[in-house]
Amino acid sequence: MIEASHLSRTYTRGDGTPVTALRDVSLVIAPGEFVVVRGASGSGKSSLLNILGCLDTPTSGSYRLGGENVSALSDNERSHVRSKRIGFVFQNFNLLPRATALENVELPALYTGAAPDHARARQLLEHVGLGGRADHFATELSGGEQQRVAIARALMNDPPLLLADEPTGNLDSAAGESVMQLLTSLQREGRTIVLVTHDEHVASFADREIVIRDGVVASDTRRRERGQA
Amino acid sequence: MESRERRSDRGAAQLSRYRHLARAAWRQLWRHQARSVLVMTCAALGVTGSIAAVNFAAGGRQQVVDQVARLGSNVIVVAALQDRSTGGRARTGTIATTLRDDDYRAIRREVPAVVRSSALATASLRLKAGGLSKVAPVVGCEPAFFDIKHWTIDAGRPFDAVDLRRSARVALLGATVARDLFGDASPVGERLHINRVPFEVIGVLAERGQGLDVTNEDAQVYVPLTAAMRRLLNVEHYSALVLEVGTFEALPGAVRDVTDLLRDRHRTGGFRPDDFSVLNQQALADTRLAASRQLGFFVRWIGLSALLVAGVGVLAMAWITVRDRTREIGTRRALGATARDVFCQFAFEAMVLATAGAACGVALGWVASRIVAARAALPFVFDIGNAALAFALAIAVNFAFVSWPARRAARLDPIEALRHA
Repeated sequence: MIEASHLSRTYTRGDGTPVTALRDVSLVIAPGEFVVVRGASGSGKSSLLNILGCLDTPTSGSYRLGGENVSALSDNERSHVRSKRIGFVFQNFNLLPRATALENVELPALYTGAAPDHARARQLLEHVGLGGRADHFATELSGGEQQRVAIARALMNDPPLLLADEPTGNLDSAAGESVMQLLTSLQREGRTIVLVTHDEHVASFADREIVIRDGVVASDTRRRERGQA
Repeated sequence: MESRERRSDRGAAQLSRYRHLARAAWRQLWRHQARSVLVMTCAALGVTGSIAAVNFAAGGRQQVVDQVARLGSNVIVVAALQDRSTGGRARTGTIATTLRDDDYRAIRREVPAVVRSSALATASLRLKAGGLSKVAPVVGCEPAFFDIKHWTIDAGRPFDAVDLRRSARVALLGATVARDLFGDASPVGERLHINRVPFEVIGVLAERGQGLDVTNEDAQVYVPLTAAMRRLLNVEHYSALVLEVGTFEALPGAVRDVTDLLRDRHRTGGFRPDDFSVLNQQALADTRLAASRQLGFFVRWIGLSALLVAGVGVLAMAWITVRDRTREIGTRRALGATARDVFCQFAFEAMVLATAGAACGVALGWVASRIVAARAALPFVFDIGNAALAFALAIAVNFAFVSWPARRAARLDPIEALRHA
């Protein structure tokens, strides 16, 4: 699914000094894997996630997503890759506050050019256990519910890869637990999941744990065989 | 073949994409009502202001045109010169006595372009009716005078050739004089003393308002020319001749002929200054129209700046919207929106409001023009062309202004935008 080789990312600070966030990171993630990326803040894990999510391009190195080299694509082409092949789940949900749950779920479909499939959006909401909340505004939902709407939204265009950035960071432990259960069930359906966190408990849901420190892969441990939760 | 099919598929997909984007943007607008109303109001007021200003100027112009039309644009006025200087001294208020009947006859004989005419003998005299008294200009004229002026009688009858031959003591009143002396009662048939000479009021003239020259024709009394000259003023000269030329094209030639003829007869021009002036209505109108053109020029600038100010308001709101929705922009980018999708969304949202606002502005502009015209006592003018121009300009200005924040939104780095508080 993901083949990253020798990824480096260097930023230029305001005063012109270069800061290296990622240094020669190589990793391969197979389809259907549930991988957790751990690291302290400033370790470079967000930079890695941005590159894996095609929001950013590496300064050097190559990134192949599903066999296609996406590290050299234009901004426009990367938008299309994000639209069709990647689903994002954010720490602070990022739902449109003045839109209903259903409209939020349908949002990614806007950018594919296809007619929005209301039935699919409703079905996804059922799937995350919020079928009865479809017409509620995002602001009327609890944090856990909002995150589940966000997950349904990430699935709208049926992407093979889900990227989650601290998805439980703003949730209490019960809501966090149910979100993790949901992600695990999505893995069982065959999706590849890459999750960034610093929470050990959250990390325990994954098959494989990659620890990033100072922009390099410090450890890469396989906890169990794929999907054996 | 295959590639063309694929291209048309892509075209259709692009189209449906825009349709859905538009629908989503529409929903957003509906949910940000306060902001939407503000943007619309801004755009509307700009258009309203510019339309009202331009129509106000057009009303002023229309008034001049109406005044010219009322007197006819092909009328020449030969006036006996006032303030003739003798020996370098100005004798104020004195009218030259050299414009006489033989001059008048010569003009009618030798300038065939003149089709209708009236000589005038005018003076300010004391009027008395019942217990009321006032001083007002009394104009002695021929019956043709009213035809040349396209002036009708409201009540009673005009005087005719018979009255003129008899120097009949009959008078027509301007609307203001009639009101001042007789109130609401009908003055027709009543007695009016002019300089103690008794006249019979035979009619009241229709109200006209201010003329092109400063005189208010409604505040004057009109009597047969002969009655004025023999019974009131005891003079043998005229104060003015009103000459109507058959066609507008013949006017410059007629002006030249009349001037040459009078110079010849009075032996003026050359060393001696003229003791008469030849004015035509067009010259007066041209002066007034030049002034109104200048006003029109300023007003256009005022209108344009109203549109620009409104555009800046729309810009500010769009800017605030982009700032407030930075995280949303980041989210949309992450979910697959291209930079162009983001640009279209913000441009579309703002332009829907600005266009709706501008349309309201046209309607409000109509109302405002009516009110301004009523307040300024000018004819109401609503220039459709100008309204369309203001509308189109508003849309162009707003688009130019809105595309700036929209482009900023499109160029935001998605990562930065997602991190935005």
